[in-house]
Amino acid sequence: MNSIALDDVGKRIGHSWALREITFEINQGENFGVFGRAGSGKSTLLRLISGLDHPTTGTVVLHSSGGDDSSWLDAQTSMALQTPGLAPELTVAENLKMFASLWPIPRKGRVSRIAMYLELLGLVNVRNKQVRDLSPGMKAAAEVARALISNTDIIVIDGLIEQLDRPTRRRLWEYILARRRQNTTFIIGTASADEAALCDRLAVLSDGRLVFVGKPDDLMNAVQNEILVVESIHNPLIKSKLRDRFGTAVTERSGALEFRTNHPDADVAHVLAEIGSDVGCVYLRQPTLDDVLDRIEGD
Amino acid sequence: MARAVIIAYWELIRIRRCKHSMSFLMLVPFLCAGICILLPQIHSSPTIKLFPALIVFLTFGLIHVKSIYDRSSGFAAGLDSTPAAGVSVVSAKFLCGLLLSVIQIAVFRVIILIAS
Repeated sequence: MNSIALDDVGKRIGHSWALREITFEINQGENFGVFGRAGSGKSTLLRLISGLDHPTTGTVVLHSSGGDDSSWLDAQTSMALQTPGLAPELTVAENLKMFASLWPIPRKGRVSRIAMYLELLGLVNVRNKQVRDLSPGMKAAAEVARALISNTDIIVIDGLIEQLDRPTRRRLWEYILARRRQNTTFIIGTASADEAALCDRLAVLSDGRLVFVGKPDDLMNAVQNEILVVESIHNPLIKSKLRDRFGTAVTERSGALEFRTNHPDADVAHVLAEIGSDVGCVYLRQPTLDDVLDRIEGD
Repeated sequence: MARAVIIAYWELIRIRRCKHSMSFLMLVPFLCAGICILLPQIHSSPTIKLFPALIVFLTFGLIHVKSIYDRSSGFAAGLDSTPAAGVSVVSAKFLCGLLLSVIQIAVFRVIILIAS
């Protein structure tokens, strides 16, 4: 079985390190996520994996039965870029036609492949529209189609899936799971916890460093605390009261206040007893990958 | 080579759809021919032989400006992520420049011929 191995990879851009000491492996047929906030180094890492850029230190190689090779990148990897790599003056269909003819795809099946990806990504109605006239979401969909049409064994999608509308995203994930069964490796860069949770394994980046590699569930289990949510707040001083009472960071999200708790039942009782008259609703929820990332970034 | 021809073909379509590029390409031979016609001393001197070189220079200049624009629009990175990166892209640009230069020089010569 083939695998992509990154060994002590570092990338220096200008005077600062965009990535440092990155070591992990991606197995063939895996749906691998690269998860992190904006500026964490996801795109830089994905460009190194795709062979569009070279690491300053370390190596990115393909382990295969025939030995290690770093020249595979161009031939076997296709990348959907965060800034779409499409010709703005050409229509969506023309772009796909052009890029399909640049990959070694049999001429016979090209037209049906293009039609299939237009359908999959909800681009049928805009197929004859020039790319420069498309909305950002449609451009993202066309860029994903450009990468998928290559029919390569490794497909890298950099931060585009979260830009797609919900039905397209659902169809794309179904397609990704189907292709995975054919041993195609998907590497998905994302800042969205929802997308990250759907990956088989994740590499979590923070400030150019690898902070976690493993299954999303294992990452969630790393954070034992539950989140206590206080909603419908009538008193603006509640936030400081909670901070002083529980001695923890209180974050504001969509009008509600949230904080991590090690003693959920006792803390709910305390909140109700002490500030119950000032709030409309108190409940507990399980942490999401976003919460985990907040904690990693906070620590 | 096949990939270079494919890219060159689509590049020509892109140029045809770009108003600025088309205006520039149409202006160059007419401007050069206009100078030659309005200044008879140039028309009858060996200087006229420099005009095709000027047209080639300006056409390749346009191709170069377009490749800078492609880098900022992301299209160049899109091509880089295919097996057509590198030599094929450069060859395609050269092919385009050559073809457009030939067409423009032909237009220039026809105008001069008609005027004389």
